[in-house]
Amino acid sequence: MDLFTLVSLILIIAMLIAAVVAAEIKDLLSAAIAMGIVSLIVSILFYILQAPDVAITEASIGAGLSLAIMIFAIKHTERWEK
Amino acid sequence: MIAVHPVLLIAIPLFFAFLLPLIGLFSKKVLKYVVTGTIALNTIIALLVFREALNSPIFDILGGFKPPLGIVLMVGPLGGFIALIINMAGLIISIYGMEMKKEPLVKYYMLSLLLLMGANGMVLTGDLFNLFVFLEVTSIASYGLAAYNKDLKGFEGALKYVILGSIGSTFVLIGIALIYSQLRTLNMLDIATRLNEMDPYVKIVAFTSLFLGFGVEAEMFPLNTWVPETYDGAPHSVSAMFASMSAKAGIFALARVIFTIFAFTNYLWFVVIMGVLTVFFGEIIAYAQRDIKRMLAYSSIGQMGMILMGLGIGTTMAVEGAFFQMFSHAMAKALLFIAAGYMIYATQTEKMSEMKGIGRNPLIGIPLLIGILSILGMPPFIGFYGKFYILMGGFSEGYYAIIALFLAASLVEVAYYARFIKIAFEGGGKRYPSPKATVYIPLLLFAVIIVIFGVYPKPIFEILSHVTTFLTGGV
Amino acid sequence: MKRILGGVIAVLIFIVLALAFVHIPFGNIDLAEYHYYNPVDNEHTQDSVPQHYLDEGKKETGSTNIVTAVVVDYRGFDTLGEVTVLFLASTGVGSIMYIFEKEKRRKVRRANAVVETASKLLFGFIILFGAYIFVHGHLTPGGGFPGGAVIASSFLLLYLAYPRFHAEHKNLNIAESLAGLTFVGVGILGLFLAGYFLYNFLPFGLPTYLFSAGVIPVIYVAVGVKVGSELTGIVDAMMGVRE
Repeated sequence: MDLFTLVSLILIIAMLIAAVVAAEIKDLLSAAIAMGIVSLIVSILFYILQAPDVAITEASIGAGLSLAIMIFAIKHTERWEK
Repeated sequence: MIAVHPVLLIAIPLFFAFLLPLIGLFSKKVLKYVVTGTIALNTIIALLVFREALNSPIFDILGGFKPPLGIVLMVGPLGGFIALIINMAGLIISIYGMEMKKEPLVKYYMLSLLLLMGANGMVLTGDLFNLFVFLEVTSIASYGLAAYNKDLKGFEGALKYVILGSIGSTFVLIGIALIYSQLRTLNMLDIATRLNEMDPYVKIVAFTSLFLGFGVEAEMFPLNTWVPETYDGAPHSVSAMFASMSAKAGIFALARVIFTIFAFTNYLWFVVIMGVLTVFFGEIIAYAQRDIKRMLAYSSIGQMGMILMGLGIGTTMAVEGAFFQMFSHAMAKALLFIAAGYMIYATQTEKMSEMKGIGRNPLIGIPLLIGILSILGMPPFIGFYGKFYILMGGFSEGYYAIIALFLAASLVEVAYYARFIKIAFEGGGKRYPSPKATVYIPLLLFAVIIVIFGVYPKPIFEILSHVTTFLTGGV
Repeated sequence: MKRILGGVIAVLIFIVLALAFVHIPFGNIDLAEYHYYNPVDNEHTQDSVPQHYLDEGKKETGSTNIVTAVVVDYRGFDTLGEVTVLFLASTGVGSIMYIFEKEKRRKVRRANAVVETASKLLFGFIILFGAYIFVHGHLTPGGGFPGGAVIASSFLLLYLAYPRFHAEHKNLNIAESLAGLTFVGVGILGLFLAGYFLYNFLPFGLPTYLFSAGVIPVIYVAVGVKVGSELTGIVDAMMGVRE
């Protein structure tokens, strides 16, 4: 197994774990942050797959802006899912 | 060279939508006239494009690159016809929209212009990915408009629509990705000619994804749970727009996926069954409704199911009926939603049982009666031809059980509309405020169209004779 | 029960789609076997669409970055649509959040001095980086969308560091409108000059130079300004909800 496959495999497994955490956890704030982690890993994967422009967009929108918007939204409701 | 570029139908609303915030800085009063003027200009262009498309299909190449490389707009006679219907309905509804008072007005007008632009784009484009982009434009404009009232009902409807709509868009995107992965092209006609190069399994998955995705917008049976809440919670003019613009664009996109791209004939029984289920559940649930707008929304589901059935039966006659039904439903349902808007305003309630005698004012009553009779399929109005042709097409193909279900659903439809007519024309009601010009002018315009083409349907049938080429994979 | 049913449906959909995605070739494949058909002139070719972009893209559009050539020139109409989608999202958020705008803002704790000074310092650099990305869209990876998103994230930094910071909505709207009008205006100008909407009517110039590729830089600057102001507007609308 070469380095490329190994790194992508680790990243994909980490992404899957973060996605499951985002769906299952009762704390909405943690769920939002897990979503941000998913976006960050996706952006790294885009960079590995030689799409730097998509990587920049994904990093700034997925991990930055949408995470911030979600946290603002959570501030107006309750933090814990019932 | 092309005399009138169909791209103007998309560029002009877009230009004015971007211009509106600047106009809004100076004067908020002129906004409504600018919007109506823009849509009137668009309607004229749509008429010219339609006249030209009747002679030969128009290919409007964008960016100057030959089709599979660049994007092309592809307007055949039927596409031109649907675009004309959408723009005409948009123009008449925009007259009613002048009455809108709720702030922020600039955003309302921008969103409604962009909804028109998206629906136009979905009908005109000849490129599969471009179709997806315009589907997004239409649906996101719809989300914004559905929540425009900013009350709980509006938010609930919009949220349901957002969830189902984004699932639908995702399916469309998956379908497009599968097709591109196999053929390396996005042009519809290019895909259609080289379709047999595709792996058969991938082909079916791609078709199912596209069918389900556009089914959300076309109000198909299991995917239409958003319809009642969204139509109910949206402002009245917006409900009329949904019924006559975005739903028509969605079903036409579906028709093009079925006939132009895939040219499927042996899977069509599936479409027929989806259609008849849509009709059946729509009409049965509509009977149980007590609120007028919810009843109209469920009735709209039923009508869209009839169109889907006509497309699924797949004979020339049935598809002609389906296109006729698109026209009649766009006109009649927009009329009924505008009338419902006035009735809710006049009686201050949505309950049908408290609308006694509302139709006694002839300015409301006559268009209301014409609209309802047209929806029910009574002979002198346009609704008759659509239903009749779909039924005849079904008979010739031997779908007897389905025809029986269809007729049963139609009886239920007659029952609940008759119940409403009885209440609306009953004596002994209160005195209601008389409607304003912005209410009765659109109502009368729609009613006149319904009556004229109902008495003299020959021009429409001449247009619909192009269905034969459409069915064999032409533009 | 509902959870199990949902899980079963999700697994089924996954299997169906995975079986289809198995057929997609990945990595280096021979593009030559996909020959396209031109329906307008009714001619069959021996070329594939992606191969044509790679071979002729630089010559036909003047853009050094082939991704940009595809996004802005070959499929520029899609980009116009995508810009409109973002415009709609920002308009929709503005329309829904409208009632809350007039409400007064709560007193909030200030962030500490380190955060304030650092974001003040970084703000300019991030804006510069965003502008660099979209100005050089036809030369280096990136373009209007990433550049605009980077600019919007610099404003997000200010919102986080200074609770009282507030971008003037009117100015954002004006920037948004003017940028959108530029894009559509370039398209309509192409229609009048050459008969094709969004035609690249300016001279291409020398490849790899800043002033090259005709209208592509103009469109990308407009897209960058538009995306930046729209995303900032969305963030501002969301922050405005503070009671």
